Amino acid sequence: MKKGVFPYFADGIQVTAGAEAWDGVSGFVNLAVAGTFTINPASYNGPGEPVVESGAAIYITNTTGSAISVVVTGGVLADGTSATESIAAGGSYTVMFHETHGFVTLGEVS
Amino acid sequence: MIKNVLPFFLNGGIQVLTDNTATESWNGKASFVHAKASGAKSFTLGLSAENGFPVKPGTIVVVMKVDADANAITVNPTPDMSSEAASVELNGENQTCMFMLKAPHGSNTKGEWVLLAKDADTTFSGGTVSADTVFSGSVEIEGSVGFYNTAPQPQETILAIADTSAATAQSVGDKVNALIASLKVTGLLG
Repeated sequence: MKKGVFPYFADGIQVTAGAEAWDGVSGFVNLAVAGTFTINPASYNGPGEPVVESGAAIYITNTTGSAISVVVTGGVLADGTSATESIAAGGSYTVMFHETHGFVTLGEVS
Repeated sequence: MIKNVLPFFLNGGIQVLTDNTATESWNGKASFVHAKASGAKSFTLGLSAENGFPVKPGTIVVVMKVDADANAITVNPTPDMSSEAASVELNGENQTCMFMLKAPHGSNTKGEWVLLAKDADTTFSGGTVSADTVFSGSVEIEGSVGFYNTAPQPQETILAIADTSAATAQSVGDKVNALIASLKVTGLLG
């Protein structure tokens, strides 16, 4: 039987000040200012860890008054292409990195 | 070292809310809540677990509306990470929302709830539909109607029926005929 992937959220909040990329560390992101947010699995996941670990989950909430685009590179549900998700004002988006499938969507609130 | 928040479900059974309008609070031990109400009702998620202990980060709580009544049930997570979504409204049978408690951060010393997922609302509270739309069932319009960017008009006006009291007594066939005639006059129907 294959080993399971257990989701976890790194305990840290990234608060954006405009268009930004994921810092590779925070499990929670507050989109506080308009601007596209980009997630890349090549991001660092802490010192000594060159890529995102399998199971790393990110909760992204949009606290602005307008929709914001979140661009996931590396694929959602193993499609291997970039995926753009529009997060409504007050909405949220949760993704998890899976070593086989790339980023997969866990939930979305619009 | 980075501390992680691991999501988990409590083994505390199902909390069933009373079928009334009284505000109720989470019991701190159930990850699954069945909500029903006889009118508008609120349910509050706080930071106290069973016996008053702090809730552990990663705790997941799923709230489901289990009755078919039209009564809306409002779920209030306190505190909530998202300032824009202070509460969640469940208005349809089997509609659910799922929260997780994240760890304390900054000035927050006990943690805060994040809304991970929520079923789509079963009612449409207004907005714009930009794509072609097909209604496979009957459509009931209770307000005014406008076509092709015209200001919405009362349906009696569009149907060219001046006497609304008499209109209530008209047969459906008469109304349809009036609508067809009106559409022909405006050139919308050949």
